[in-house]
Amino acid sequence: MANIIYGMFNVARTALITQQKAIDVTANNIANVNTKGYSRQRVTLEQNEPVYYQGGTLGTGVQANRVIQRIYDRFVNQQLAESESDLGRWDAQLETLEKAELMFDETSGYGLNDALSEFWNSWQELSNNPDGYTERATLIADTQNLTDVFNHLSADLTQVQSDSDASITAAVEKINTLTSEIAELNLKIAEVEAGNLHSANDFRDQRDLKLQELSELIDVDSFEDADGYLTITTANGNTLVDRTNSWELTTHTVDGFQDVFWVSGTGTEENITEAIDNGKLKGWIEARDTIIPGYLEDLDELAAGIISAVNGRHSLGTDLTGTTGTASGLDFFTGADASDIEINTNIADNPNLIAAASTSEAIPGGSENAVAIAELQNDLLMGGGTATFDDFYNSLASNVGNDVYQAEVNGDHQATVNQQLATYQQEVSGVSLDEEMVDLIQFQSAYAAAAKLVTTVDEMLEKLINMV
Amino acid sequence: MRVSSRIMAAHIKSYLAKQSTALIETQTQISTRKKINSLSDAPGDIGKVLDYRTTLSKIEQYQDNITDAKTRVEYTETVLGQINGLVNDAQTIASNPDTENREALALQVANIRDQIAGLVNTKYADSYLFHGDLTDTAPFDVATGAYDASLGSDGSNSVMVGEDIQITFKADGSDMFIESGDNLIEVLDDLEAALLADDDVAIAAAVDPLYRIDDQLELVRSEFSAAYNRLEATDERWTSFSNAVETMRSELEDTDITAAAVDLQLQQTHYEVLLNVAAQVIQPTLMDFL
Repeated sequence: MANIIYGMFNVARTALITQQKAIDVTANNIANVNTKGYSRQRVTLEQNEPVYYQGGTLGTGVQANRVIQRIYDRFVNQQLAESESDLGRWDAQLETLEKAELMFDETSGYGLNDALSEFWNSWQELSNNPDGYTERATLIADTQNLTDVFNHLSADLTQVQSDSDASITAAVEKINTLTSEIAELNLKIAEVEAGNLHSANDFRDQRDLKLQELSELIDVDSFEDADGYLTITTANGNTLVDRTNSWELTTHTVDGFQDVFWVSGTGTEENITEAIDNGKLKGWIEARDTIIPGYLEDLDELAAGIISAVNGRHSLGTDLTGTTGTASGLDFFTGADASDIEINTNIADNPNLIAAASTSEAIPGGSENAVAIAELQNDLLMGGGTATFDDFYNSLASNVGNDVYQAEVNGDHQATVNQQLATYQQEVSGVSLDEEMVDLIQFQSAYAAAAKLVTTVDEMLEKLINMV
Repeated sequence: MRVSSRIMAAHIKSYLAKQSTALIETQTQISTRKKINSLSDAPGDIGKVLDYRTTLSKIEQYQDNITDAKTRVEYTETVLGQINGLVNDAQTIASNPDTENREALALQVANIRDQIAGLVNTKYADSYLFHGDLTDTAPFDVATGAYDASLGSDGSNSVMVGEDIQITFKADGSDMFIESGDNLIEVLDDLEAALLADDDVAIAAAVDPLYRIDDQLELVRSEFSAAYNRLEATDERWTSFSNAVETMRSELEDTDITAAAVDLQLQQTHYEVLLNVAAQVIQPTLMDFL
């Protein structure tokens, strides 16, 4: 006959140890309830194989599976990483475009719209009194204001582009740190899980977290192979992490701005700036290389249009020093685009050189040229003959507002999606204190019951011994 | 659905953040009195608002031009009125020359002539009124009364009152004070000489030119008056248009303070309720009940 009493001691022993183990795992969960990236763990309790003997079956208790289960959903993690990429892109783009939007300064009324209006108005004032010194001086002052605003706007937008370079460089460094950390974690996980004896739960949690941080910065594809190594590649196929090795990204100045390069094992570098499609890097790069240059182009077009139209008419007029009826007008503006538009320094020094009279009139009372230049405000000289200067600028300002609004809307939408995914991930992997409390009570009472079992068996044994 | 404490915390944080953002927006709108505080607040509207601002600035300038022109016309009319009055006086003398007081009449005519010689060389804000584009040289020689007809003396004065619209005013002295070759000052000089010489024929010969010049002056004055009316009418039209544009701009750009204050109150209440709910949801755990 099998040794049932000693068997029961054994069973009680397994119960005590196993419930202790279970409480330990619950304690770990409770301790890590607020740890970012932590997936709750669960111990799997299995029944020990019973002993079959002639009289029946003898239970042998419980054991905890050596491998502690990590509750997580692989697919949600994947989706979350992609969502982080999207969110990072719109956040970065919004941040850069908002800086650009500030430069336009239209809502306070001191932007280019106001400067242009003042400029055209002062030509009208001049036409009212062509030989007046005050009107000429005012025109020069208003022109200098206009050119200042153009110059500053152009310089400020270029500055915003350079600022995003600093962000890009910092992000590339961060990416390099993350990829090397992920490669290290790959190694640690492989070491721990060799032989399938354990599950490297906390290393895996850390690796998932780092993958998400990486996805926020740059869009990557990742997959875990059969050995547990996480392979990460960029969207166009360059490897960033493979088994325990990592490859780096670097930045170099190309055409005045930083481009991102991938460094291969042999040292050759590949320019991947165009291929980056998502993540914060994309946001910064798109704003710097596509959107802001678009604004600068429009601004330059506007400045060039004004320069050519005003100069064209001005040179056909007669100034106060010229002989009556000859075209003696100098160029009113110097420069070619928004960054270098200036009033002609000769005119700035000598207001009499402003050609207010036309060639069919006499000086100093002739005002037809001034009228013609003032009327340029209403001529459709921009947009291929469909818009006035003011219209063109107003639509540029409107476009800037639109782009920022789009980035904001997309960012908000993506943030909502992100939160939804994070909620779902937490649903699966998050620690609920209420649940852990219930588990704790469960295991505690099981432990108490097992302890009671020991007492009972002990009493039985004592009685048995005392019988003899 | 399994709810973990982090889910609750994350949700509460995001709702509170959204509500405080809305509060700050309303607060900004009330403080700056504008609904649009950055280009992206209302991208569709900002383009229109900028257009309205440009229009309002243009209209203001046209109205300034009109005011300037009106003052000038009023002054011109005063001068022309005085000259016309003097011409009428001369006409009376020429048509009824009292045979006894010819010398006194001659003195009167000389007086009239001198006054007119001064008036035709009037300046308005440092520019001669009646010399066309040559506003820095006197039109009439005071001694001989000859008109300086250099190139440009026939120019006119124009004022911009609208897009591609200008109102022009005569500024050519020869068009006003010389008729069919008869120069007003020279005619008066001749009349004075005739009175002193007791030449009845010569005196009678002064009547017709003075009559024609008087007619011409009245014609010119009525032209100015018509142009003045046109200026006033344009000004009124601009004022009403400007009011309409300003209203439209204000609707898009300015905050309705009453509505915003009510919104603020609602959002404030909502925010407090959110905080209250958050406090109640986030605190209890099973441990409180064990």
